[in-house]
Amino acid sequence: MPATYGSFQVGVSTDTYFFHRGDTIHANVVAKDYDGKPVRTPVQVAFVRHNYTNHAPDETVVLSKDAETDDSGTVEVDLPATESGSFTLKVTAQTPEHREVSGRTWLWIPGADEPEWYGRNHSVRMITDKKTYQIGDTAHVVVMTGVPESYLLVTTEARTIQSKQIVHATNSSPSIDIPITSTNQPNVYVSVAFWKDNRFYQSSKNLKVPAVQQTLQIDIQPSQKQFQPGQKARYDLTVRDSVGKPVVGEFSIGVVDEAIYSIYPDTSGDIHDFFYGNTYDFVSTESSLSFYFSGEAGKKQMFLAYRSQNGPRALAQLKPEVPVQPKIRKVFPDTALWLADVHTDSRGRAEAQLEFPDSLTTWRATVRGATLDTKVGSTTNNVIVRKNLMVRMAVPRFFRQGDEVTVSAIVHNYLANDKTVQVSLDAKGLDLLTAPTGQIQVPSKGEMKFDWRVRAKSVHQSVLLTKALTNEESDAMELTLPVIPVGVKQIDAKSGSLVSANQEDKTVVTLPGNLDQSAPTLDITLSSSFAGGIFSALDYLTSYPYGCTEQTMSSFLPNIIVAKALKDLKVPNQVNTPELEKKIKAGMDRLKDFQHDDGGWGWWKEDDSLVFMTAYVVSGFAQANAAAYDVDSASLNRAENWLHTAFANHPDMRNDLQAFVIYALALNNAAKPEEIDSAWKRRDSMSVQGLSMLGLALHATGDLSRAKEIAKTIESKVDINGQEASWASNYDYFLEFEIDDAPETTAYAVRLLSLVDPQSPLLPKAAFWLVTHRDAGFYWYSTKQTAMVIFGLTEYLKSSHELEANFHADLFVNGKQIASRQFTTADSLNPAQPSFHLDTSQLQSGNNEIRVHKTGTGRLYWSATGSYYSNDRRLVQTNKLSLNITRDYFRLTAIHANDKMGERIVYHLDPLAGDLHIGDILAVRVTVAGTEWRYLLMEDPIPAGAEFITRDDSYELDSRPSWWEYWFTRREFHDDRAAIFQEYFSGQHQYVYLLKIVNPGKFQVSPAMVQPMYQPSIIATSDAAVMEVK
Amino acid sequence: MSHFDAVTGAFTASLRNWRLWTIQFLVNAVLFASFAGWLLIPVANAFHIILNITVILFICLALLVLHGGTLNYFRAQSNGGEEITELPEGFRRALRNILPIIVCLAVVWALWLLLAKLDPYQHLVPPYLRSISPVSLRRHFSLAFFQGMFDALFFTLHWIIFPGLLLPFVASVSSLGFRGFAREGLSAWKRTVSSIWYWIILTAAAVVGVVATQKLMDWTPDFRHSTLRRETISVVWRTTASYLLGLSAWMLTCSVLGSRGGSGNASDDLRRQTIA
Repeated sequence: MPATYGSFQVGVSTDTYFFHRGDTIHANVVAKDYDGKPVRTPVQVAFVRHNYTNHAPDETVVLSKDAETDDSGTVEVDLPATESGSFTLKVTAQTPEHREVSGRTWLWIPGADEPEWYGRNHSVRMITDKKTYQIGDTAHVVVMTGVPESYLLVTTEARTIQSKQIVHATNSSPSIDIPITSTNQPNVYVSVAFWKDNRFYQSSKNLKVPAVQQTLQIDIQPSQKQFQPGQKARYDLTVRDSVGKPVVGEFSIGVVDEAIYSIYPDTSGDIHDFFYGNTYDFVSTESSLSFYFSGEAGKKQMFLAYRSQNGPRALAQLKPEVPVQPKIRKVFPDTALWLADVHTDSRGRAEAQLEFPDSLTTWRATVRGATLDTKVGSTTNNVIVRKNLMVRMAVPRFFRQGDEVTVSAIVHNYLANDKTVQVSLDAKGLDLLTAPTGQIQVPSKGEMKFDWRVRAKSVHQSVLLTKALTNEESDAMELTLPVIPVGVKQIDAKSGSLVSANQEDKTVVTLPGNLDQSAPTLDITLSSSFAGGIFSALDYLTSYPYGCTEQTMSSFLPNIIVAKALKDLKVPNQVNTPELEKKIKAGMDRLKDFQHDDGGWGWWKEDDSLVFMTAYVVSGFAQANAAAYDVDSASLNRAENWLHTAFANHPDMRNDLQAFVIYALALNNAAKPEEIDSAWKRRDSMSVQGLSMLGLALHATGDLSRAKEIAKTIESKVDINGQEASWASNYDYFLEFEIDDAPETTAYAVRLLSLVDPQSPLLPKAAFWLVTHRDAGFYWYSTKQTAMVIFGLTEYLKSSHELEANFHADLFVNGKQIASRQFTTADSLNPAQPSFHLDTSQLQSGNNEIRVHKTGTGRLYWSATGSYYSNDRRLVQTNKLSLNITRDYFRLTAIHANDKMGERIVYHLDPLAGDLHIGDILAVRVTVAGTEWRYLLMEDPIPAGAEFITRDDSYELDSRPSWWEYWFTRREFHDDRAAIFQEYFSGQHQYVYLLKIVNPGKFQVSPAMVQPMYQPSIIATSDAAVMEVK
Repeated sequence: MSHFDAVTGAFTASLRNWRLWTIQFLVNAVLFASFAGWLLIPVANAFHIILNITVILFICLALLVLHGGTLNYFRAQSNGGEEITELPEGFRRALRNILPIIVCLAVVWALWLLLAKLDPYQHLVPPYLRSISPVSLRRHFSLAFFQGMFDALFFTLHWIIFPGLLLPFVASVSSLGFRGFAREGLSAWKRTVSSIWYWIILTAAAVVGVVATQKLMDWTPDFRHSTLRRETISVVWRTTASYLLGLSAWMLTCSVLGSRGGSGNASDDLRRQTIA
């Protein structure tokens, strides 16, 4: 709701700012209200002189005239220019609220009696005769030098100097004429410089020459102003150039829910400004008499309030006697239409058709486009999709298993008469605790609410269908909401392989607890080559819920590598789908956004640059580049420079990390010989991880002899156990923490050996070991480890001959056959590997026996991943001295404060006690304590009836406790949980965020959890909680 | 005479001995200053290193003699000796027993280092204990409470139990030399630690000498109304008061050690020492 001083506003303008004595000033007065409608009103136009001699504003009215605006809200008033100097034209009017509103414009009239205030400060002032110019105009610029005679260097400048001239000024305010040409578009700077009495004078003025001839006039008209949900609609597009001639061009049309722009405003900007907006003056005029320091303040624009727009309302015409059965509304996308290439014909016309989704909202259509000769334009249009009787639901974003929630249907009646409305709720996946139907009386132009109480059962999804039926118009909507299990997620994963011609494997996956509560699932994959292990792990990487620098890179780079490998092997590419292409683009953009000013990358955007993260991104960019993906070379150069600097400035950098840096630089042909030699000299103190990276770097630079020497060293360190070969490691030498890192180390070795010694007998054994040691079932220990193993296996894939398969496989779970399938060589490189998802109905509590039987030649690799949620006391509140987590709730109570900071509302913090009510503000404190850790992830589930308050800094406390900290690397608010990331951790820290209670009910809250992100087997959990909102 | 009377008697007797207080007040201050000066001695050449070692040895020696002598004085007081003759004798005896005193303090120092290994747990254990406690308990007891309890426990361990158990040995060794490690020292240790008054007075001394001085030094004038002059005066006064409080607490500790460690007969002690 905008607040204005008066009910209308007035303004005054002139054709030029610059007049001569004796001229007549034509003042154009406009009066209009805040909806843009003209206002008829008496006005007074005053000619006001300003006197600055007393360092205070001093206004003298030289003359004034009364007038009245006409029906168009305008009037022209003529005033004589009788005096010289600086003036304003001031227009005033009285509003009906007896308030005076005014508007001003500035004028200059040169002459002998003008005050020479400007000369005292040795400053130069420039005055133009117009606000904007067109091609062919001559700009008259008065230069007030403040000296009686001078020689002026006059230049026109923009990206370069466009013209120059010397003007001999014989008075203190010479007028310079600048002819305006097309080169001056969209703006040009007139710069004046001169010397006088050993002083340097300089000034510049921006003349606007809008490129109006490049502007397209786009008109988009919907077939109606208002639509029903699901109704077909058409947008007619008409495009003309600046003189009204139809044009042929290419345009995009997007129709997006207006509410989205309230959450995230359209920041793409005006297309005309992008192409023909104001340019900076790239020319700098300086003298050698002085030097200066320059800087720049922030120029971030303020966001103004966005108003919702309510359109006109219409009444329904049909009035049958029986309740009208409505169409169920259940499709609520944010975008109703996106067409990237709509072409206008020779008449400048095009059309777009769509069917509006079920949302009752305002849809904004945005059109942008260009012609071949780069005429550009854009426009928007809003239409409303609505009904005369509407029902909407007030529900949480999700349910948690066991929640008892009050869900509401809010019925809006825009019909002419009061209506008796039959409301009903059909809930799938939820127990309805109250009567499913009811009747409410909704007044015309009014709304009423009807409540139901539901309990969330142990399913992963619920469907709520509510109807509001009347005899005239009805409405119904369907919502699908997730039901999240309560407890701590647990995984029991197994993997193995079958080699012999007739062999069987048995294993047990334990899924303890009540099946209704633990919501167990079992995923089994079968593959006829180790490549199958790669494909199934790709899904894990692309669907990982968090996106730090490493995870962003790991989410798409393996796909690029695998797709390229398949292409090299001439296998039809089924890995890089269009969906994945989008993810790659989004990942690249995210990494670019994450890059720090110094050129490096940290764990997140907000922290300091880290050597490993930067090297990983740089190496990834090189691999993406090799797979023909565009990489921003400027961004890459900055990162390479950062690595060079880090290498030079930190001679004590861990040797293995040095090798990784060299590897990343070498892939981009940017490694310096002295850097490689430095790493080479330290090879004796490197681990297998570092040696592998050094070997890969040497291979990338073409130094095969030294690469082979490294490979031999690595081969000598292998652990062989029958059919398996691996390289042990209990430390991650790149991220620097203790972990069983044998899979990653083995993968690095496989990668190097595949390139340098592809005939090594260790390779098939190592690949076999990797695929049969998938600790998490179908993926490895963490995102980083999984990505690194995929890189290694993919390299081996190119040189491997282990693709032959001709066998039959049978899969049984708990004695029941799940699959029976023949595998051939063609399946070996098929990314669509057979996988089987078993839900609660197919599983049993406790041990679930999995039996895999194979007959025929070739290897069968299998993995089984059972997951369930547990509230077992041994898994809840699993805190240790080395890492523990506690969650406490506090209530914020608003109190009135009146101190020297002024009167305001502040909040008092109390431990949570008693009932909660809608609107209550909660502070959640998560205390984490322990020894030293790196890359910690804290996840704190929230009650379903609460929403995050993202601007928690706007809640001022009367007494802020010492534990209220904002000490974290990054904080993310997801629908059902807060996620907090901490790169370095030691001792004890509290993390605080705010919640607002929005739904009544009794809500379950799963335990908060803390774990090092790359050591997921280490985990600490708090206790669970129950929260009742009255 | 009750144990408490013996302690108060020894302490009030010490208060009358202005020479002891003057020595403690001045020599401790001089040793502090000497230590600060020692830190400024460079180590650029062999002479500097020799000077460094000499000065720090002198400071340590003086410190041991000063406080060993003070312990001996109070022990003699409880044995009924004459104060005028016993004060210099106490320092001389400490000088004669300097080797056993060093050995004893080395053991104490080693044990103190062992105790310091518990320090990291001071901030690890309270949040851990709270994290495993039920929500009904956490609702009433904040993390600050848990931390406060643990801080109190650590304070007791560091400043009451540890010195309370070891200082009687130091006092015995200071008076008896190596015999302080043997049966006589052990019986004196038993006498001391079995006295409830010993622990009460030691606690009071720890509170005055550690807690009160720490609070006093941590306190600062309200910065909104303060001036540099006021801050300077405040620091001088607080430092002086803390110094005096610390000194008083130490003298109180020495007096209770002497009253409980002595045999009750001054001539016995002196005779034995003379024979030795």
